[in-house]
Amino acid sequence: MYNIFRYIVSLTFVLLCSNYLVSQTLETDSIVVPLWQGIELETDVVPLISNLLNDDKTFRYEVLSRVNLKNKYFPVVEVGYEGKHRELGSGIDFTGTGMFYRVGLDFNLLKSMSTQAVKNKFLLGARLGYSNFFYDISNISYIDEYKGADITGNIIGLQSKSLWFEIVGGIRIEILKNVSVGWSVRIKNQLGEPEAGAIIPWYIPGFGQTGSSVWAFNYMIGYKF
Amino acid sequence: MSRNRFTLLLLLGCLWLFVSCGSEDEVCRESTEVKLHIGFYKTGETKVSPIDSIMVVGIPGDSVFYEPTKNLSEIQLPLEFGVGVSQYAIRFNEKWDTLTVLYNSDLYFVSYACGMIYTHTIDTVLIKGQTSKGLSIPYKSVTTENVQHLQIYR
Repeated sequence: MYNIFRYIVSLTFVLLCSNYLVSQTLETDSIVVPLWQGIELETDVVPLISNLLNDDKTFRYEVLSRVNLKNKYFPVVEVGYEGKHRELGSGIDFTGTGMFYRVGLDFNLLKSMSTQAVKNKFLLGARLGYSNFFYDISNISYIDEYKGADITGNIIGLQSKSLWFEIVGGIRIEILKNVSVGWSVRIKNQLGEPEAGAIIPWYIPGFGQTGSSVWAFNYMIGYKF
Repeated sequence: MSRNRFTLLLLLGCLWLFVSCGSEDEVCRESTEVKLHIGFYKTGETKVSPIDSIMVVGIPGDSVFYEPTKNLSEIQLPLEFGVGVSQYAIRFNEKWDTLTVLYNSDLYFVSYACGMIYTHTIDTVLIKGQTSKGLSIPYKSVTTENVQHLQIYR
């Protein structure tokens, strides 16, 4: 919990500092940028390819909506649907499916000299993620020490919820009129500790593999309205 | 920032996408052995006292947990899950005693690498026979923790 607190404080500090620097630059240049600069829709293109290569239980669809305010503030909502199937090295078969949601705010660290919507962006932001999902665990083993036998069983229809925090950085370049591409890299940390002995999910839609911090990468393509 | 620099950053991002790969830790490094630890004491003493010869078998059935063994001061016995009671015949030198343990069992998830285990909470312990004079239960929770759950006095 201390790490999460430190994480949030550090992020807030970085965002405030960067925001202050950008503000100072804009004020110096005396440019009045209109508040509403449009809305962007993006999707992650990597799963569009990987979905074809994986089995039908492993997939991800993800879309993002980002509002451009003064070319500086970008409130973001992300929605996705993800399924994961994996036979683990221990023989356990995991299958999970669920929706995930993220809300947050990006800051553009590049100063804008235009009153029009910026074409290129260097974004730094934060997200709060949430997923409500179902999962099955098959072929999980336990040892009957009394009889000296190794027994396997299935646990089907488990449901769970998860909340996590992300720091996100990335760039976007407009390659055609209103069409932009770019990437985002993000580090995610789960909020809250699982109860000891509880059957935690191996994978959380939108978050990734449980157990520690997760690094993730998105290659995005988007359209500006 | 120039467009060239932005393009370079874009390409670096793509490169990272292809070279990065996750490593999964799927090796079980935790103990999954859940056994009832029993120590033998002489009445009035606090230090374990070895038995000259001991043998343990399950009741009913033909499970032999300890073949005749010399100079043991502690034994570890598995508890059968799903039945709530385990019985053992313990031979102290030449005399047989019967140990009965009543308990509740819970399924406990360790990890995806280790699987699951049954842990137990001791409810009642009975011992009958010519050797044993009494017993105590210092720890009622039987998990992977290496502690002495039961002390038998003779």
